[in-house]
Amino acid sequence: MRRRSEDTLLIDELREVTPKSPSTPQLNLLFEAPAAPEAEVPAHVTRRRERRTWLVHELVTEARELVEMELGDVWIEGEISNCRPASSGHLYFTLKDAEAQLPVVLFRRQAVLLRFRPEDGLQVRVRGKVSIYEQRGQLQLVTETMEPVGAGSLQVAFEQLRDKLKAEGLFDSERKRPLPAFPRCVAVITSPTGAVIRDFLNVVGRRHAALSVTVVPVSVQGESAPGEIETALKLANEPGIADVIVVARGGGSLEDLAAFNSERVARAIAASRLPVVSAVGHETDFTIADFVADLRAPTPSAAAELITSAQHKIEELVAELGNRLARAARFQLLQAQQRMLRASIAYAQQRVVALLHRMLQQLDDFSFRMETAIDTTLQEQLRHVAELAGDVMRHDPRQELGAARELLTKNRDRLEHVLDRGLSSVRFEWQSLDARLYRAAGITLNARRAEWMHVRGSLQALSPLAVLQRGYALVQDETGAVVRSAAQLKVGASVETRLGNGSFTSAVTATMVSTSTTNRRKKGKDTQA
Amino acid sequence: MAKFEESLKKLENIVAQLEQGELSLEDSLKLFEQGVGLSAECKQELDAAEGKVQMLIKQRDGTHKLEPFPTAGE
Repeated sequence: MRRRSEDTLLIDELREVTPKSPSTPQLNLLFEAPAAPEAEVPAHVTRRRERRTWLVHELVTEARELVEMELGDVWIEGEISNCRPASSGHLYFTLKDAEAQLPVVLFRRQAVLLRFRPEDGLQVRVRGKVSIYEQRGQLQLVTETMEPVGAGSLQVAFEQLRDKLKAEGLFDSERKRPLPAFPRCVAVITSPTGAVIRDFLNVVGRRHAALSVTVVPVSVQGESAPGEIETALKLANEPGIADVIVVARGGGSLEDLAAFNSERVARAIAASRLPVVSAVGHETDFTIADFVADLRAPTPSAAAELITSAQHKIEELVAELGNRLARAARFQLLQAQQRMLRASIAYAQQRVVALLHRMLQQLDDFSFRMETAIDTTLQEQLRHVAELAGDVMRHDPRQELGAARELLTKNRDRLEHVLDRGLSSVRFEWQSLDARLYRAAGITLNARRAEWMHVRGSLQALSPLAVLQRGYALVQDETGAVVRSAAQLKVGASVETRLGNGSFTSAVTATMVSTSTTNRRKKGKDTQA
Repeated sequence: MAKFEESLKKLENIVAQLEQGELSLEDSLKLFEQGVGLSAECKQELDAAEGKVQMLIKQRDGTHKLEPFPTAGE
């Protein structure tokens, strides 16, 4: 290669150099000279051509430049050996095959991007540029990226399986079962030795969780791993073992995680009765197991945190529910008390209303009785008046009687009217249900009493006594019967004669019965109650 | 396990019902009593849980047996 490169270089240079170099006639024959050969001959060409002695660094630099130019971007495959990470973060190793070896440097900037940890014996494919480390004059490969050989096919297998299971719906979120609210025992399927189970138990212990842990020991890598994990999942699912399963493994290369990318383990997880938490690898690595699991924890410690925190949460929830229960009950009681209080107030109100009603009824009753009494008296008097009117008919002008009747009727109407008014005003007052009721009723009754007195006065004015006032006399016999005819009397009988003012008793000395005015000749008197 | 979750769910329902406050006093008291019972049950379950660390060991006859896990290192 080197030779070819030099040849090319020489020819390129000669094409320009020729016109200025008449000392190379054989080349002149080969190439026609350009018209104006003004270009300077590069120093190193001149030097080389002059076979001058190089300084070491000049030559090495020259070589480095040539090598970098020619082999600036190459892929190379080989086995890692003598791998030495430096404290700077750079990584040095040797790439070798059966016949040769080549020092390789992987600078920190690229080293941190690696998805796997380079180890001795690992077959890798490296992309970079070939260069020369001038201080040592050593050929080396400056690496850009690197991937394990075989990872490519593993990756393809991974993707194929992932797509297949996904199409089957094994990753569907509807399939994911929630973790038990209160996990009491967790089955951890992992290697019984190593950091993973220790980390897990540390977290559980640190959080003082009342969580039982049952370790189901398996190999997490190697040929037997998928089968062992499958069996362990079945075992952990047996009743009484656990209520949640964690499948755990520390991080590693894709090959290390092969078991967790196997279809067998994926299907065993999918078939699990209990919820499965996957805790495989580093935070950034995903495995098929992660996709199928009900929950993915980035690390085994995170899985422990998750499960113990669920437990703590449930303890808090139970305590909180207890508090809320008590609070709600207290509130209910308080409300009931208030309802009771309100009820008793309503009861008291009802009693007051009932009392008022009773009082109103009494008032009604009273006024009714009063009305009746007044009415009765009135009727009695009217009857008397009617009787008397019959008696005095002949002695009393009809008009007067008629007028009296009229007045009576009027007064009665008035009385009734007044009573009605009084009653309605009493009823009105009842509506307000207070002390005024009594007062108003009293006033009304007084008014009625006054009315009644007035009517009585009127009645008295119309009584026969008034007639007597005008000079007539009323004669009664010994039995008190009004003497209307002299025929009723015998000589010697004693009669009482009533005058407008006072009365006197006299004896009948003679009787004369006239046809027309019988009463005139009589001596006697009638009284009025 | 399922029983605990069931009790918890019932308790949650009872608390929610009581908090609604639309029940008669009698029903409330009945629910409260029930709730107290459930709460005590849940608490008991929580207290009964213990943190044991065991390992499932395969016996020679193919059966498995729980044995204490050696916690003091590997």
